[in-house]
Amino acid sequence: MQTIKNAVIAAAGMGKRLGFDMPKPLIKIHEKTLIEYQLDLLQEIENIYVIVGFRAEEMINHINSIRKDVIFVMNHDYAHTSTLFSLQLALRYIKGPYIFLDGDIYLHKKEFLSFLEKASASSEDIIGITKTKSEDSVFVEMNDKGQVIDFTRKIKHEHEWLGLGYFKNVLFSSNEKLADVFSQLYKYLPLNSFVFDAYEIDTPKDLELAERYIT
Amino acid sequence: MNTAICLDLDGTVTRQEVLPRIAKHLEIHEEIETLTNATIKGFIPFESSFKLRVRLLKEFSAESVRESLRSIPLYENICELMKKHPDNFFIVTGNLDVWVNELIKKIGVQAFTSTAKIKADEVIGIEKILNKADAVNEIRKKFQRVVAVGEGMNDIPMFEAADIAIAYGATHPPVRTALELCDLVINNENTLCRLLKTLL
Repeated sequence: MQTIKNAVIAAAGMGKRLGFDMPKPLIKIHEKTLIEYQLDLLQEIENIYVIVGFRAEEMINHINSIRKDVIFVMNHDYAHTSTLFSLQLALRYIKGPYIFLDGDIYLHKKEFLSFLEKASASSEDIIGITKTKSEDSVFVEMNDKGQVIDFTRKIKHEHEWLGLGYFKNVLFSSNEKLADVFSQLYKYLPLNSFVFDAYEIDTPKDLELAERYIT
Repeated sequence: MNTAICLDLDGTVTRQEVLPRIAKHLEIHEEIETLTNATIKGFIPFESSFKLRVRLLKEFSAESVRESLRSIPLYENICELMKKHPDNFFIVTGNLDVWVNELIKKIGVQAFTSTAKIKADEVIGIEKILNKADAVNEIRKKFQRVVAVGEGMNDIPMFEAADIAIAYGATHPPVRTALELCDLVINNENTLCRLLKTLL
């Protein structure tokens, strides 16, 4: 058992599909912003890295009003780069295992804490997945041990990749052909997974769903 | 990788700005403040403002200026980290050598400063205003990687010349240009220390 010291939140993007003209992490669900919920999950983690880009100053001010000791990693080219690129910017400063979290997901705290517990006891990487809710996703194929054995956009499976993981052994490279976080995970398959009851906020419909089910 | 870390003095190592503190001590607070505000708002470029401020301070001995800095509050954890790695840390400040040398000596690291023309411990003029990029380029001769930490307009050349630029807003928010050019933003002393340790 070891304490996980690092967490990375990718929050540089514009959230164009949601159409709110503001960064997704600043979207409110019942009076609290999405990033506020995420920081609450990470309370016990020492080093928090948040990659910011779109409306960075606003993001920094908001996040600092919640937690002062965050390290902000600037992705100035946020409009033309991927989440993977953002993550790699942060990894320049991180030594050791870390939790990676996309800035547009809502997770239940209790569930996240049990994921943290599982991760800190694990010598292997774990990726977060959830029951498929949308058509436009990266679906994951599983084996009977609950491990992910494939990622695909073409065939709809029961679960989808959540943009979340505990990474200990995975190394991300700057291969232009593998521009997504998940596409770099292929060579590490099969990967252990953790099933979350989570909400990924991509579209207005996602937000509506989240607002209805999160209490 | 051998790494040099360049820290601005005002608001990065010291918890207070150097010049306003000197001004208060010498009771020319109002004049200096007017100039500082005009500089922050961008009405006067840094160099002209600095020359004017030096002119205002000319009538006082360098010793009285040094005295005003003897009890300036410092970021103690940052100073401690610097003391542990004196070969890797540099203070890079636009302040005049005669004013800040004593303070820098107390902290115990190497430094690049602007230099004064002196006659019998009186500042009679400015020898050279430091361009912080020159300091970084000089330091680069001996190090593979240079990290810069600061928050003001005069830190911008240092940000551009360094490999990693950190905007540090624990004392006051970094200027917008610094936010646009930096790699990291950190607004907390202990967080900065932890991050710098990973780079050493």
